[in-house]
This record gives sequence, C-alpha cells and structure tokens, in this order.
Amino acid sequence: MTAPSPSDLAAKQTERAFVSDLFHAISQPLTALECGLEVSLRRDRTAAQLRARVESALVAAKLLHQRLLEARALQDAGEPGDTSVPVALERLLLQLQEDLLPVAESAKVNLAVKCETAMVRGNEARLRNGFFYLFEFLLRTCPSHHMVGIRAQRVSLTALEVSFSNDRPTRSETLKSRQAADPADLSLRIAQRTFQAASGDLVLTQNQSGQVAGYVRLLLAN
Amino acid sequence: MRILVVEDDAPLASFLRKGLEAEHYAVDVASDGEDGRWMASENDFDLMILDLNLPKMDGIAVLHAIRPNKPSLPVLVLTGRSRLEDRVQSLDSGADDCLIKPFSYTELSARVRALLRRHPFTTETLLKIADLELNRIERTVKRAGKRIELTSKEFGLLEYLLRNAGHRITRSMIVEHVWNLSFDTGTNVVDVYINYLRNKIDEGFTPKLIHTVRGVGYELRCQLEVTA
Repeated sequence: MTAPSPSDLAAKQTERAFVSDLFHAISQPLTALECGLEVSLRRDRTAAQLRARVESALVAAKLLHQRLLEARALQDAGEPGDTSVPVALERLLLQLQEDLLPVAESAKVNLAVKCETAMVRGNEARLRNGFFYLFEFLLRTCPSHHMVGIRAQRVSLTALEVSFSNDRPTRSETLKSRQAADPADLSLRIAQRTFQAASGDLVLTQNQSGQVAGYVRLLLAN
Repeated sequence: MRILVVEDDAPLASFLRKGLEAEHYAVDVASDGEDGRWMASENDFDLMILDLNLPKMDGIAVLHAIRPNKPSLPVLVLTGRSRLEDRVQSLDSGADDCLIKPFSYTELSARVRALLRRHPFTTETLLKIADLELNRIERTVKRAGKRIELTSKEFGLLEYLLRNAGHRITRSMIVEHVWNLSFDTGTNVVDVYINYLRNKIDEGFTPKLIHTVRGVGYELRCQLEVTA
C-alpha cells in the first residue's frame, strides 16, 4: 500500500474543509426549522399561531436553500473546466471593466484596469466568473470617491500577477467603506476557489483602515 | 397551455401539479422515463418539466429520444445533480432551461412562463412593446422613433426583458441568462443595470415600461398610469 501523495492529501483537506463549512452553514437554519415545527406540534394552537409558525419555518427553509446554493456555487468554482484553450487576459479584463462600469459609477468609484497582452492558462468562462466576483467584491467594499486599480503584468517567465488595490484616494478626506471587506465574503471565496482551480491563487491583504490590496497569480500559457 | 411533468417523486409531482393547475395550466404527470417519453411523443404539450433522475429511462435519454420529433417543445429540466457539468450536459442534450433542486415554486413558475413566452418568437428580428423597438440584427433600440444608445450588456438585458414581456422575471434568471453566471451572490449588479436601463428607456417617456415586482424581480409591461 502506497502513501497518499501531497496532492491527494491537499484534495482531502479541501474536501474536509468544504464539508465542515457546509455543515456549519446549514445547521443553524435546519435546527430552527426542525425545532420550530416540533414545538408547534406539542400543543393545540390557534390558526393565527400556526400560520405564524409556518411563516417562520418558510423563512428558515429559504435560508437553508440559500446556503445550499452557496455551497453549490463554491463547489462549481473548484472545478477547473476545460483548460485546453489559452485565455486572452487583456480582452477578458477590459470587457469586464466595461460591463461593471455602471456598478462603479453608481458606487462613485473609479475602476481602472491596465493589462499586458498575455495568454494565461485556465478556462475562459471560469476565469471570467472569478474576476467578475473579485471586481464586484472590490467595488462593493471600496469607499466612495476612491479608485479600484487593477494591473496585470508578468512577474516571471511562467507567471502573471493581477494586482489590485483600493488605496489610492481621489479625494483627500478619509471616507468610510460602504461595507467592511470580510475575508469570508462569498464573492471573494468563489473567486479564490476559481483561481486555485486554475492552478493559480488569490492573496488578499487589508490594513487597519480597511483598505484592501492583493493579487491574483495565474500561469502563463506556453 | 398543457404541461407534461415527468417526475418520479410523488409528493413533488403532486405539488407541481397543484401549483401549475392553480395557475390554470392543464397538467399531465408521468412517473418514469418510459411513460414520459411515450406521453411526450404521442401528445402535443406546450412544455415539459423533466426530472433527470428517473426509473426505467433517465431524463437525458428521454431528451435524446424526443428531440428528433419534438424539436420545438420547450423542456425545463429539474435536477438534484449539483455539478456544473451535469447542468451543461442537460442543456447540451436539448433542454431549454435547468433548475436545480431544491427550488422555490416562484422560481419554477417564472421559468415556465419565460419558456412558454420565449419560444414563439425566438427567431424574430424585431421585438416590440408599446412604442419601444429592439432590432436584434441591426442592434438598435428606438422609443417613440427616437434612437437610444445602449451598451452591449444593457442591450442583452433589454432583449431578455422583451422576450419575457408581460411576465415576472427573477434576479437569478437575469444573472443566469444575461450575465451567464451560475449564482447571484447578492450583488447589486442587476439592480444597477435595471436603473441604467430605466433612465434610458423610461425617462421622459410614458407609459413607464420597466416595473419592479417586490420580492420577485422585474417585469417589462405596458400599463397606462391612471392619474386621479
């Protein structure tokens, strides 16, 4: 019997973490649903009380449904897809910039993208999803009147980094973020799993004032 | 409108029948793949709701069997299989839309309406409601004869709304069909785009065409406003 390889161990670890997260996410609404229904059966209730109980059970069921959808989205993001065709990153990022311009404008945030012409490894649809969720997260957590800057450049013969930050204010006054940048944010986790599935990674840092910076590392196509 | 539900889970089939009949559809139910294939082939249904995991003949095999003779029958697939590849496979096999279990009845009902609405004019060049016109070939939009400039995403969103004019569509339907994403994380992208579209399509025109449906999503409809 051979010892499991490091990649097997890593896959098992990822699976274990996924199941643990899933268990944690669905246990609360499921408990609320089960207990609520049990209690409502223990004694006679008026029609109004029963209706209120059913309504609260429906809320718990909807929350449970949402958690399952989130789990599925995370699972999907972990699948690399067909990676046989190299992806033109510049075109992909500029298209996303155009698509998200209304969102940036409504948030009063300037979205600036600069990208070297480069072909990277990965599945185009998956990478587009990953960057969509990352950009959406950055725009949502960037203070208004600031700028989200995205810059993609080669860092070695085999890799490219897409660095991002929202730390370049276009107005001198300090403005509070519209929403704190939570590292457990679902959009961010989907993006992270997408890039990891493409043999890349996403690293995020946040300083005390809430400013976010980081990079996505992707492999260049030969 | 007549709908065939092919579902082996009796409580779910019963719930679908009751819900759809309450919306005035005529509903037939088949409880396995072979019955489903036979009923779809021998009768004229306006839509089929097909579970993938069926006894005797699975849903993909049913799709393969009926498509040659029923190329335009709208098929909404229901599946508990969560992998992206499974959903892609069902769409590649001839399904028109795919809904993952568990689902809410509101979502299913909206998708049924969208499919029933979509099919009669998928190949039409000109989509119209009131004085709003969208030309799919020239990629132009006019309201009251006045040309309106839209970005490619705004155009895609308006086309989707027009295809489903008169029917409620959910945010997750827009996220899937216009943005090609599998999941709505709660992003405000759809709402922002709808506002942009409203400013271009409805601002300065009457009647207003884009309506918000609370708790559901949006609807494009021509409704004359009554002033007191």
